[in-house]
Amino acid sequence: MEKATKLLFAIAAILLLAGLALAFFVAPQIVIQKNGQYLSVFSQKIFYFHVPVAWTSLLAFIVGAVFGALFLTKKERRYDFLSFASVELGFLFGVLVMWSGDIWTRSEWGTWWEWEPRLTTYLILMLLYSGYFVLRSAVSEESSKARLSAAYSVIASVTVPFTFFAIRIIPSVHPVVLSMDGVAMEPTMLVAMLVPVFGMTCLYIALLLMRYQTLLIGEEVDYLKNELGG
Amino acid sequence: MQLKQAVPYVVAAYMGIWVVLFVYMFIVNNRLSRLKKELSVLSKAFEKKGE
Repeated sequence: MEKATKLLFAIAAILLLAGLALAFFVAPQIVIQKNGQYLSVFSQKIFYFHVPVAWTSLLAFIVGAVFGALFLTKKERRYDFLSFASVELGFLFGVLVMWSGDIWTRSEWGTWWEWEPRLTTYLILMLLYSGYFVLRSAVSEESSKARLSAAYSVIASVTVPFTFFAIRIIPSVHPVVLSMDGVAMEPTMLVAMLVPVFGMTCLYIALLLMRYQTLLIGEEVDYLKNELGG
Repeated sequence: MQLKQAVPYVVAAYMGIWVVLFVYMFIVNNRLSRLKKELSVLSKAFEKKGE
């Protein structure tokens, strides 16, 4: 597992650095016409890492729900650990989505917050998932904690497709890149977005494996401490 | 937003992402190393107890 983790970290580093280079040196600069003047939209560069962290956060929540469902059916401890680690990473990436998104909103829309479908549904998703950690820390008995949090992760994952499709169903000012009409961007911009998407996915898997190991070894340490009498 | 005005926003967005990810990686890696050391010490103690 350690070798796989290191390999994934290396791949992620290469892809993310390449993504940075593509975003700033290859992808064309967006120019808009406003009041008869041509303006360069530099803040659009945020998009090249905002989309990858958003994709990773939603993926992590779905993976967390899949492992949660596996725990509920197979009752194996490792699935609870994987579910918890994935939800934790989903939340971490979710914070980064809100951070980069809000900065972009401020620079482009002139406001820190807009009650539009994507921002609102994502906020609901994050509030719902913060409840997951409250639940996990509130239950002390290990098997109940694992069972309840697995069920919670499955139920909370319902908000993931809802968040994804919100701006495709409800009229919104949030940009839509991928729709039924295809991809709304130039090929070089698409590549500059997809490279960090793969990079972030590799980073997520590497972090998931690392976090899973800490939980696994942590349990073993606790067991040995108990056996040795504290 | 023009280049000059947008630079601080772009820098803040990217810095935030990288700093948070590095801090998380650092914390998890540190915890993992500490737990591995602890496990090795406890395993040896457990073996001795069994002898």
